[in-house]
Amino acid sequence: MKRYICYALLLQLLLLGTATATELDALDVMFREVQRSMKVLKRHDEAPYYISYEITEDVAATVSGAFGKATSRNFIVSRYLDIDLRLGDYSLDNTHPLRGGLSELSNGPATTPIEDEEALRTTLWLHTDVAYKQALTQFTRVKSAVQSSVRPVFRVGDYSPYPVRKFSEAKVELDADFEHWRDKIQQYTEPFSEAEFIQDNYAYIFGDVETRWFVNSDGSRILVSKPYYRLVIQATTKADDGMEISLERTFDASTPNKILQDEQVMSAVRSMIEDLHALRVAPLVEPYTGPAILSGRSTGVFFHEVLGHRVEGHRQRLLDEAQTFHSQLNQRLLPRSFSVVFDPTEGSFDGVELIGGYKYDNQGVEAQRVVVVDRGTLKGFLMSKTPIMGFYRSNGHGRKNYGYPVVSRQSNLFVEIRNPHTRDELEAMLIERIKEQGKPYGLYFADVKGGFTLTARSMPNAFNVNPLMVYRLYPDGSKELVRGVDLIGTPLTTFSRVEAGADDYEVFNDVCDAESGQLPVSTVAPSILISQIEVQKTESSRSIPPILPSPVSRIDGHSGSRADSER
Amino acid sequence: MRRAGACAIALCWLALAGCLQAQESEGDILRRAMQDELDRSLSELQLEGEPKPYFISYTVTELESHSMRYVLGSHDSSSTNLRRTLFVAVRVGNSELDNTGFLDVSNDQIAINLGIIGTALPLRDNYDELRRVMWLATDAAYKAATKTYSAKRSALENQIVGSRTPDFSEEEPHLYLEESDQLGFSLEELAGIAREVSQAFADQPNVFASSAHVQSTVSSRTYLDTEGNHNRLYTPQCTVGATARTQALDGAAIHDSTYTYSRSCSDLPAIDSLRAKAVAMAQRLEARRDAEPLYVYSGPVLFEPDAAAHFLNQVLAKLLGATSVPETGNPQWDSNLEQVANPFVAKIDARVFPRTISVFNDPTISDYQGRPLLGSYAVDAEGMPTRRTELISNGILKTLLTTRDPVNKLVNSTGSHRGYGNPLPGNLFIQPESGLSMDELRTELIELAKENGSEFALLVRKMQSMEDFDGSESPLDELFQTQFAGGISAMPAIDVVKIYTDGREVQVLPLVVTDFVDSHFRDIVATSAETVHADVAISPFANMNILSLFTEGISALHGGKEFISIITPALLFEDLSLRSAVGFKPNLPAVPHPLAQD
Repeated sequence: MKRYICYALLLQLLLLGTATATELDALDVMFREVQRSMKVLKRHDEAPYYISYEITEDVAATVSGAFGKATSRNFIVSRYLDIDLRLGDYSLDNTHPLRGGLSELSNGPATTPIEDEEALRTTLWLHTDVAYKQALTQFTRVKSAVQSSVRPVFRVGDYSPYPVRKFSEAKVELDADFEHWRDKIQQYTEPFSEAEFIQDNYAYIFGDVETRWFVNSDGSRILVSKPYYRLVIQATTKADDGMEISLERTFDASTPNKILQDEQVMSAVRSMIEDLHALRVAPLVEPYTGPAILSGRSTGVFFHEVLGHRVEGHRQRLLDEAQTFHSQLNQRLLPRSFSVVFDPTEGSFDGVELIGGYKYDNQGVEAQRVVVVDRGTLKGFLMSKTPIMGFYRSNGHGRKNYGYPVVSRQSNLFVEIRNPHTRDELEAMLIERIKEQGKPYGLYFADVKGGFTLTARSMPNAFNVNPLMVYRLYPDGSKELVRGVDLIGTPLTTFSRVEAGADDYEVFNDVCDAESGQLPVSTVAPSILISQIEVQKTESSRSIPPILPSPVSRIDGHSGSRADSER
Repeated sequence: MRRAGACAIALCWLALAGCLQAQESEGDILRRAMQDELDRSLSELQLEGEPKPYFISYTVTELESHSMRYVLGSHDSSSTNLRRTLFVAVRVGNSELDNTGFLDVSNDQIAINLGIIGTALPLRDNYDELRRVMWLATDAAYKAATKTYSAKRSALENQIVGSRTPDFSEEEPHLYLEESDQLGFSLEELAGIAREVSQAFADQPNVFASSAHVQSTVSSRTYLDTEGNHNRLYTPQCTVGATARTQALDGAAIHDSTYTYSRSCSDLPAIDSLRAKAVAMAQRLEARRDAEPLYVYSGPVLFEPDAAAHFLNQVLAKLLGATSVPETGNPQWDSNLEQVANPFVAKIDARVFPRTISVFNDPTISDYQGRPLLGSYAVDAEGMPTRRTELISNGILKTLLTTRDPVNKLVNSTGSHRGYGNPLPGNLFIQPESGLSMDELRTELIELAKENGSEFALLVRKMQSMEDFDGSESPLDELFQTQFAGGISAMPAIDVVKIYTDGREVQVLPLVVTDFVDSHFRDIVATSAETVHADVAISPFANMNILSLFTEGISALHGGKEFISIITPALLFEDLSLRSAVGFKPNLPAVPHPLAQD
């Protein structure tokens, strides 16, 4: 017990450093240093036309555990500096994409102090110099490459201006109570220790306040601070044939209390244990094509992977990208009842918080609602300040994690259905399709854990969605839980088979990993019917179950039983 | 170090240390869980058609660390961590032939046997939960061991095998239990140290980047095996580091660092002394800005004692451990692996050093000239007691340090498993029969230069520290320079001066020793009479034999930081080759330093 009290004090001490950060007007110091650099560098042959500084502070705490016991905890305060320095002009600058360019040897992102003017200015100065020299080298290469390559008919430019924005909000403090979190982790994972068939269990509570200070040479100054708390619970069992089966539940919110709702979490834990028990004996599914219903959460991940990544603007200009939807603008992709919108300004849906929202992106552009598919027709792309043909202005989706360059990324994805069916109607339609296609059953994807997609042209332009819970739905309406499949396909073909959507919207919050790092994203989507999907066998460990029985089950009545072995 | 004002937080830390102690004295649930699962696994764990394990060991490490980094008096980053890890080692077969020391290269794939499996343990002792984690980790380790054992037997069956050295040594069981020390030092005080030391670089606009960090760790290690070896160790450590970098006037990137280690933060020198050390380092760095480039050099080189200690840590320490070449069953692979084998293994009873130098390792010595030796320890990572080992006597290599993996005729452990696979020293003493004063050595250096017909010779005052790789300013360029230097690699010499035959000194930019081989040790022509002691943190890059990487991975059984203490005189080599360690030379900053302008 004393140890946890110590940690509460420790946390307070370490947070002292972050609290003082607000005493210094870091935005002002950063802006003065940007101005000084621009002024001095103007005297050089190659002068920057744009510089931005972004400092990202993460104050993060984690408590993890398994089977009713805490296993580790940590607390980290870090501040990282990112500099975007551009030579040339908006039409051609040092960031111009080159085919097959070698990546630079990097020491990783620079850490920076933020509480003292001299220390902050010195760090900004040093890394501006590094960025300037790197930009000089890059720009020389770019100019040489452009001169020696075929001139495109129309060049869209490498960057776009955006009006000056000024915004500042109060810095949020991390609300981390290690003792409480430890108790919760122990409470939430304890039921797994009672279920002998659960082989592995892992859970953690993570709290993070990300505060960003952004300035650019145009005059924008932005300070945003966003808390994020996540509870992840994972459990694994092994079927008799050796297949490892894992389920994961996550809870995300902007305050710790919202993720630590005992009733909700314990219900999820009980359901995980029941589902794992059922999955152990569920039949394996062979590769299959046929009709399927995706639940709201599954639809969200499906759209995130299949459409979302392919409407990220930068993929329409990178030479190595397949640019799947580049030529589909103003063409029908989906049924007329479907629209797809990205809206980072939305904070919640039906009382559930959405983690993919933000006030300003990482280029100082305010978050904006973007209609990507309107009544089935592709209308736009997610844009950073890097323009593409026909889209020359950012719509506030230039995002990144610290240490990465900005690219256009997804935020909160909404799949909206006009004149939706009910869920029962959708199932009835599925049974019709099963009969029409002469299939023995259709599939129902009840829940998913995530997925991935390949968008480069050097490999098959495919996607893979990893389900957690899949059912066979038979023509008589009965359902059977199955295991061992992934939903796969190619984007244009699969989209052409999307038929209808229901009105049972669900939220899926997760962290998306792509070129500009890990970022929180959300989807809000209903169940949908797809006339034909394809599944393949999932990759999974097939090692044999443990040789000896669990020692825990043997020690009932032993002097070291649970009740008296806990100190 | 000032201890007043520690207030509630220091009391809190004292309570924390008390918790640690209380855990161990209260019933020893951990020990009982380890013993029960070991017993059950040894007697019952068996796959059909496969042998039972004949040896299992559990190592439980608990590490609590706090670190803080400051830049020019301002907080930059900090972290605190607490974790507990179980490592399981399983051997199947028997001590003559088991699953270890084998690299499976069949099917055109290299299957690296990491040997030891690590997994998270609950922070608080609960018998059931400890047993559950141990059960699953042992099961996984046993399955991996049987797979490797099967592959190894299969590979050996297809070739004529002469007399093999056994795979595991027979040792007497050893019991060693330590009680934890009371610790008392507040995090506030640690932050104060980092802040103060980082301010040493204020008002120095010619130092482009700088930082100071403090790290305090308390690690404990509990070891138990099926042969009855049992030990429990507590190791508090405290590190104060300061790093600074700038550019020489010709653009070359130069940097320097200074580290102070102690067993606990209470034992640190006074804060004024720590700050003064950082100030002196910054001044040396600034003085090196107008250093001359030197592209290649071949001739006599004198290492001052501290530089000699860091050089020997990188080029000698790993040679003093007997590491076997893993068996593969593939002649081409066997031949390739022989190329990177430790050359000292074949040189026992041969002369490897000048006749005037002897070398021994003695981790049982706790201090030297009144200063604690951080390389001292009682029991190694395999539960074996340490002892004094005479390694080189009057230049002749007598034996090597060993773990429980026998190598040729070296069949018993010297207690030298430091958690990195290959054996490493603890306290390494380089003992000259006689020595010169530093002035006499310098005169000798000049004489050698004259004999060579050279205008100058080189004096190395400081080597790059491997610790620098822990910081955010990792000198990747230097690592690259080192990797392409050939021979046994060592980090660059960062403080080097030319000593001209007329006595003049000219600072030169960093150099790296090239093509260094073990026979160069015989070219030590003189040493100083005075010896100094340097504590050097063990790093996988500098201290790990590549063969150990293949067979063991970086097991990190140590939990926290481990040290080698090297006690050495200055060393004068008759002939070494060096070349410039300066890579890309960027222009000087295009914008003046903000403080300089102000």
